[in-house]
Amino acid sequence: MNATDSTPAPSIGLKRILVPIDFSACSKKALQYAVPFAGQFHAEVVLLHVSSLNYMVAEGFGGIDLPTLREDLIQDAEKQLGEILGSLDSDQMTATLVVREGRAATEIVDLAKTENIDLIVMSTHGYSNIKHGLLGSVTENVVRHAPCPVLVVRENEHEFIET
Amino acid sequence: MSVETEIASTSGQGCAEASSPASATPPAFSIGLKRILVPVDFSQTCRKALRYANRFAGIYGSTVMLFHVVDLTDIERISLRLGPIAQERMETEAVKHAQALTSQMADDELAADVPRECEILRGVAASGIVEKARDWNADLIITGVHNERVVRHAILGSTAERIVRHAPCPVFVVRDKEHEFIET
Repeated sequence: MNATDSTPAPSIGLKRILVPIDFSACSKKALQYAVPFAGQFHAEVVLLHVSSLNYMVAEGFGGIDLPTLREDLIQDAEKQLGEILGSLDSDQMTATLVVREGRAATEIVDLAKTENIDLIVMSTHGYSNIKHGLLGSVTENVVRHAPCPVLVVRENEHEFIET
Repeated sequence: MSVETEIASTSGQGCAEASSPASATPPAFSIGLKRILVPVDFSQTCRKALRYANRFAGIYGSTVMLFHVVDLTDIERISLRLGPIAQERMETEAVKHAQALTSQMADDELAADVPRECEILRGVAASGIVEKARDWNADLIITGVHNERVVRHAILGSTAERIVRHAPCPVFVVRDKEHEFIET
């Protein structure tokens, strides 16, 4: 192959990238990585927020069955995802916002399957905020059970994109 | 167990320097992916990891480092009965064998114009890989994880998890059975 060859770079089948977001700074890092890849390969970004309200409080209180509260949380999540989307350069890529309720790892893996996701990009931690060298349980579970490759990024690291 | 950081460099065609690097796409999207480290355990999954590395290298002009760790504990266990001379000989053989296999994998999975390096380390897999990524300034580690039930050595599974936990850079994880976005 000639170094001055001007044939276009080989294309790859990267069409749909899933980025789980819990609105922590760490999880937004994942989006910073997804965007340039989405731009380069004209892939769609699926932003997913999983609301785990019932799972957080189920232990002592039973499930929360307040429809208005659930609705508010979902709407709020959609709004925040929309704000994140608005801050991206959306000329080069399309994005979809999804809010689900349930256990985070399960919802992420399920969505990756049903939506034919090609790549999941996520951070080592979200709000669980365990420092240095451990892996958030959601990320660990997704890496184990994902139906596609997973790119795991972390908060303080050697980067290969501009951040 | 002390970790020997004795690194055997390779000879052989598989890991000879490529004559000219692949033409790189200009970094229009600021993706500076130049150094990809692929831990090698000679499994089908690590071949998949190498295929992804090969694709990225073709697009971004990266150099691929194939890194294999010869785990000494198996040899130590066997050679308790055989004595130190036999152990030394077995270790040397293991390293030579690993060099040949790694070189072969590079030949098999990387396009001829992808710059590559091969290194063999005697020691502990996960920490060796993380340290290498740091020393070599890896931009990305691509590693496989075994998700099939019937797997002879679960080593790469737990190693992959440890790599993801402690890596100094992003880690791209592929698995035995999954939906791919390149041909594998």
